[in-house]
Amino acid sequence: MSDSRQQILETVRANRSTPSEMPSLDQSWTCYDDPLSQFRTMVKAVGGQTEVLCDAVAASEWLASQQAYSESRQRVSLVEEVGTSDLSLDDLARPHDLASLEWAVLPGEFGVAENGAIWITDRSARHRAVYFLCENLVLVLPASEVVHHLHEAYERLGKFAASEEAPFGAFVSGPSKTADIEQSLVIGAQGPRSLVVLLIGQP
Amino acid sequence: MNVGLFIPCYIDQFYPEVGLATVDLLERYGATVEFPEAQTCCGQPMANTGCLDDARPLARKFLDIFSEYEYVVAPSGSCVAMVRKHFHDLVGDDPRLEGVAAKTFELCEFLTDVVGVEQVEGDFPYRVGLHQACHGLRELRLGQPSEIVGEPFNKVSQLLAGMRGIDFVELERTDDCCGFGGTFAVAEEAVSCRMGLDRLADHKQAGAQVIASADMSCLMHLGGLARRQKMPVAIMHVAEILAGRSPEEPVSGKPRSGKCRSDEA
Amino acid sequence: MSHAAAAAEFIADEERTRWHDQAVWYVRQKRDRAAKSLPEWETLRETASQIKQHTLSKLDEYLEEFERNATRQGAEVHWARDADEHNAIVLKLLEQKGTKRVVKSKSMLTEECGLNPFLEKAGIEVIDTDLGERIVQLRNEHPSHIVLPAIHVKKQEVGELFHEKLGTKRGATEADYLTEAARHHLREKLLAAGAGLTGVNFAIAETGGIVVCTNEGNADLGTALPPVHIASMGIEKVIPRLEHLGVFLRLLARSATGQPITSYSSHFHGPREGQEMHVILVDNGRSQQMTEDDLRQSLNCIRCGACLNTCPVYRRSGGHSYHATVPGPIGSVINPARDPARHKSLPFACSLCGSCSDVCPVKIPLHHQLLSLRGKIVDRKLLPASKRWSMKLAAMVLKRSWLYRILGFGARCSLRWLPRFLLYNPLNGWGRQRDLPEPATKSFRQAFRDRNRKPGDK
Repeated sequence: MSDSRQQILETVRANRSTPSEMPSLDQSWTCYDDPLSQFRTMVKAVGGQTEVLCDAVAASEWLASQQAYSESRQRVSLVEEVGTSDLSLDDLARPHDLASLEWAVLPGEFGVAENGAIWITDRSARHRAVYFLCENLVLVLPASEVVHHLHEAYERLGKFAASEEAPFGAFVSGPSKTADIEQSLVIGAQGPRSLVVLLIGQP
Repeated sequence: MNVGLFIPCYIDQFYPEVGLATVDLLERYGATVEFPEAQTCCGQPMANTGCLDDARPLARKFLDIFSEYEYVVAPSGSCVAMVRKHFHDLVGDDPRLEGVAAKTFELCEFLTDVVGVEQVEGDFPYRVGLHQACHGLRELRLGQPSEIVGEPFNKVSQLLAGMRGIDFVELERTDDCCGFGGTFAVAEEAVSCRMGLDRLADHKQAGAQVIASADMSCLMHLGGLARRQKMPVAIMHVAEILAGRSPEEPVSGKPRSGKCRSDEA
Repeated sequence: MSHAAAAAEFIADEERTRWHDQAVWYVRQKRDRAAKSLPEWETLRETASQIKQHTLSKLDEYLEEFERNATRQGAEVHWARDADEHNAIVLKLLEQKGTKRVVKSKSMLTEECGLNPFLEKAGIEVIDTDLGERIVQLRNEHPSHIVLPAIHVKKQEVGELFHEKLGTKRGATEADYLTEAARHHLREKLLAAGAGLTGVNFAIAETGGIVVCTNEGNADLGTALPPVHIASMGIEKVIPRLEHLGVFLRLLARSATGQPITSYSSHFHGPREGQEMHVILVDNGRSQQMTEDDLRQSLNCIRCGACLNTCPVYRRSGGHSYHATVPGPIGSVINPARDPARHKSLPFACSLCGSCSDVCPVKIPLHHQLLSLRGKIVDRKLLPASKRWSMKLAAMVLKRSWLYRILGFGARCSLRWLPRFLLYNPLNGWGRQRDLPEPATKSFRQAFRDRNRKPGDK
């Protein structure tokens, strides 16, 4: 095994191309006059829904007003003051027990205006499967936390992986989808069938 | 301006009218045109088949013939691309190459970039489907290809736009390849013909009376398919249109490939 | 079978060819709209290309840096020289865990290595969880496209397949209904899996993390549930820094499907609590590909599939006509680069239109590489003799202006006088569907001489 390692590295070293500079990413990337509104447009374009609410209480009330949510008995929330929990994630030994979960209200860290993506991590979730197994996903984030583009996003994430125990992180853009059958877009492939993004507070 | 005219072998043999239109046009803009008789072919068919050793003497011969001229002009983007972009693989060691490559131009770009022509004046009251030949477009950048994000421009249609009455039809695919591709046309006959027939169908749905291109090789392929299909469309090189030729007149002692569909059609 | 022969078979079904061309072209159009929504598109392409070029100039260092950091994050890194070593590593890991059920999310590398049949032979169930891949797996086929594996399959065929394999209603063809059936089937498999295999879109040297992009969320489910995550990657997938993802993720989905980003772009840094994570770095011919200056840039590839979508030949011949894991322009470069004898017809399955090079988000000069591969095919004497000799003969004539003139004259005469049945014989590949040019009475050189002859000259 270490033979393979050595051999691959030796061949690669012997076949290096001529030195070439690393390009600068300090370029004039497109920014938006109103990143929040661009973000909302893009979330919609990728099959999601956004609501801007003044605070957590308003967000909770909005959720309660949604019949599908209020009538469900398979809900979990990891966002303080938003939504309710019918089960406790920490009590589950296996993430598999989340297979019938209907609603998950989970924290998002920030949004990206150019593509409607939301950065999530599993810092607060014992089972990160909750983000992907639930039937309907609600992500909650401050309305002020929207960056223009991915370059800005990664600038922000600069140090996220530097720690000894970097969390799992993902950009989530809309619900799970596929167009593998004759290019027809179908929302709800293997993961969540819907995505609601609750933006809290003033931008 | 002293121009050494470079006429691709298949134009020399099959489409003399395109060469003559090129001469007329160059002379109209004050060029002195010479046709060095020793020329045959730039070696593209061999080079594109990977037979570099067979192409090499032809590239060398090209340099022998053309290095003395102030400019070298050809009514073919493909052959010019061969000289400018691929000769270095064949005769990169020849000190004359750099000079020849720098002064070899495709006809339309010669008119716009060297002579400084904005538009060519004349009459051409027909609906024209412009076929963008790939090598002119993507090797010589005679226009902005549809893949690239940037300001649109097109040296060929810019020149044609000066013709009174010309009406460019709108194609569904502005620069999909016609499928000629040199030996590809025979080696991959099925794909080549399917590609060509698809282009023809696009020009037909757009209502083109004339299919025009700055490359005759594409037109030889498209014209051959159109004639077999008895498709009522005229096939013309851009040089012919710019030189004031009509799609309804016979050329070089033969009827024009494909009759132009009448306007009422 | 040569590409030309396989393509001719595909094209014989005219209706299907048109359908395939239009389906794939539709994706190219979506890509165009997405690219044009970013004024900095060309800057992004250039930057991406430079990052890749820089990476290849120090690839060994970045691989070691990646290994160090991935290990620090708790992943175990393995090295495989070829497909056999890769497959053996995967099997050993699965056997150690005693698992017989594996789910896999999209990975062209494991296709390249033939992992599925290898594991199945060892009695392990491998389920492809990407819907398109599951469709081709159930059909006992290979993907015909690197991003849209089942682009060649019609919905009626999916309906019949699912009726037979998943028990859906006979005759059902609605994508919604069929996808829903697949959802239940695949979630069941995902929940039952003992290990999750994924590909890798990017590996970050600086952090030791890997990034996997999917739309369905299958890579996330496939790694968030089972106790083992095995990620297989080609050694060219490593990028120096986390911030470089900003460039590549902006290009990838827009180039691939016209989406602004895939639904899920997941960053794995080490295993979950209680899970094992393994990363297998696979060479399988890549380091050899680096030796040739004119082919090295093909290692820039981020497998977006844009060159397939734009390729007029791919669109009209279908992915299976290439008889290779990766079809289309990029496949016609990397397959013959590694095994020229087996894939000798692929560099010629190209009209040299150059669209692939202009669409490529990492600026691989694909059509120039295809051209240079043709030279290598000739050098290795793999070109069919008929082609070889016709080129020799043509060059012999074209070198001699006098001979060219005589034969040109002869050709024009015979075109004029020979009866049609002699001209359009079965050997005339040009003439099966195309007429030959109508012969001019005079060549240009004669006509030019006549034109310039002053009145009174003879």
